[in-house]
Parts: sequence; structure tokens; C-alpha cells
Amino acid sequence: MRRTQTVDDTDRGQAHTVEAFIAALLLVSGLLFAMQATAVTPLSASTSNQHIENQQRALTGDLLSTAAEDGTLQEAVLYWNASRGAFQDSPDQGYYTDSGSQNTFLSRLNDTLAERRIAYNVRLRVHNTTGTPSRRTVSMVGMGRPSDNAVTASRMITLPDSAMLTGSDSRSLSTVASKPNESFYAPDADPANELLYNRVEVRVTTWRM
Amino acid sequence: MNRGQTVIDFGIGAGVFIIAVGIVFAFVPTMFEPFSTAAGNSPVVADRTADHLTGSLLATDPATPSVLSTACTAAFFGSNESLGDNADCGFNTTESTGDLLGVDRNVNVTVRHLSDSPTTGPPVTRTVDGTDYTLTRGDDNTASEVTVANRVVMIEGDQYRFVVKVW
Repeated sequence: MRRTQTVDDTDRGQAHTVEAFIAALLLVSGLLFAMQATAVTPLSASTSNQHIENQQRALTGDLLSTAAEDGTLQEAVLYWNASRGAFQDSPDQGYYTDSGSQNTFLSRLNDTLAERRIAYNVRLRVHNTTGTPSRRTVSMVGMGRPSDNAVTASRMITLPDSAMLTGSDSRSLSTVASKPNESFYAPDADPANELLYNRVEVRVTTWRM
Repeated sequence: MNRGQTVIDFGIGAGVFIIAVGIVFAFVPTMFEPFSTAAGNSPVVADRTADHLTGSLLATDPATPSVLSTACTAAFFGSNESLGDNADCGFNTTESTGDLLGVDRNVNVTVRHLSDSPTTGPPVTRTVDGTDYTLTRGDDNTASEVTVANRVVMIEGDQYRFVVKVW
């Protein structure tokens, strides 16, 4: 009896410091898990705020729809130098690499977005008549790689065969297509049809600089 | 007695545990702060109010949102009832801004030039039928915590920034 009592006292299987560290670790990992589950915490970057992304998307969508309404979007899409095969006044890459005021649509993007430190890429998706993929993407403005919190708005416009280029050579799209040494970025999607030339999806991706 | 534990050992262990509990409990309320501030749902209210105004209430045609009717815009900002009735705008402009928009908090709606600051720039003035209308409506003394929603609108071919502040 006495001997058992002695053994109990000497070998208490407990070390408070280690136990306390394990318990603290459990509490902290529980907290970290809960933080991953919530979308926004005080530690989240402010540019990832959903409201800011929504506002940027609405702003870009409005710019596209108002530009489509007054025709400046079509003007920008046709601001092309056919003999050079690049956008009018663009640098060697063939597209604009910075914000600028080359035409009305681009100057509005510049006023509304670039002035407020929002960067943007403008890409045009057109129907491809030859080979795969069936859609081709052409850059109009490329300001770099979008951040993880970038948002995109898009708008579809239809180009007729009779649409005139708005750059320095003022020719219709069907005339450009018939000349061997001149090119437009989109092919005639329906050569049999006199009216339809191609359909262009204008995609504007914006992100905060 | 040979207990495998000392008082110091126990003291350190209990101390570490109590500090950890304290830190965790102190941190939990700040995790919910973004959801529980007075702002609360005002991002949604501001966004929907801007959508409602530019997409249907002041729009010329719901099929072309962001293109605003000149008469309805002037009637809305200038509280000109007869102008609004003649253009068949479908709202009672003499009501208070909150009642008109169905918002039970302070609202300020202002139209600014694209190149001006979205929150502090001067409002646009437009002339309709020989009368000047300053395109701003609602209380101007904004509180420190304001939620802002931005849109781009077109009035008679000119583009402006349409700003809704809610607090």
C-alpha cells in the first residue's frame, strides 16, 4: 500500500509547459482556420474588397455601353492602319502600350480610369474563318499583366462590310479585304453576305495599380 | 516526495496558456469588424441605388442603361414636378430624396465631370429649356464614414461621372 503510493507520487505523467504549448497551438490554429473561412478580415488587402471590384466593373461596363451608344466604340475598333497592319499611331508592337488619347474612346478610358490610377487592357475577340481556334484575340491596349483582383467587362459590336476605317486610310472593310497588301485584324466572317463583316467582342480588363 | 513537477514549471505552463487564451479572445471581435461596422450593408444600398437611377429611373430607355433622359434628370435634380410630369418620368420629384429612392438613410446624388475628383469635385450644371440645373441632390454634409458608388452616364452626348453617396 505504502509502496504504491510512493510510485504514484514520483511518476506523475504530466508536464505542464508542454501541455500549455499544445493547448495554445490548438487555439491559434482554430483562429487561423476561422480566418481562412471568412472572406474579408482586417488583414485582407483593401484592393480585394468586393465593393471596389463591383464599382470598377460597373464603371467599365458603363463606359462600353455609352461608347457603343454614340458610336465611339466602333470608331475605336476601326482606328486601324491597313497598310501597316497595326492600330493607327501605335508603337512597334502594333497596339497601344500606355494610356493615351488617340481616339475618343481611348481618351475617355484615360480620363476615367488611368487618371484614377486604374490600369486596363483592351482586347478584341473576333471570329476566325480559317483553322482553330474559332476565335482570335487581338490586343488594342496592353498595359501589362492584370493583378489577381482584376475585373473584366465586355461588349459585342457588329461591323458591316461597308464600315470605314477611321485611321489615316479611309477605306471600307470590304475594300481592305480585297487588296493583297493591306490587312485588317478580323477576316470577313461571311463573304457571301454583303452586310455582315465580323462581330467584335471588346473586353476591357481593369485593375488597380 | 519526488513529484515530477516543480512550481516554476507549473507557473510557466499556466502563464503561456492564459496569454494564448487572452490573445485569441482579444482578436476574435476584430475579425468580424468588417461586417459589424455602422456601414454594414451600405455598399449594397449605394450600388443598387446607382443601378436603379442610371438603369431605369432616369434612363431614356431601359434597354440602353447609362444614357440618361435630359428632362427626367433635370426634374430629379431640380425638383421640377411639371418638367417630370411632361416627360412622363414616373416618379414624384417633390418627395424627399430618401423616400423617392426607397432608402432609409442619408443619400447624396451628384453628377460630376469625368476629369474631376469622384468625391469632392463640383457638380455639373446643365441648361434645360433656358433654366440652369445644378445636378446634385441630397444632404451635402457627409459623415466621416461614407460609401460611394460610381457610374458613367451620358446626357445628350456628354459623358459624366454619376456618384451616389450613402451614410
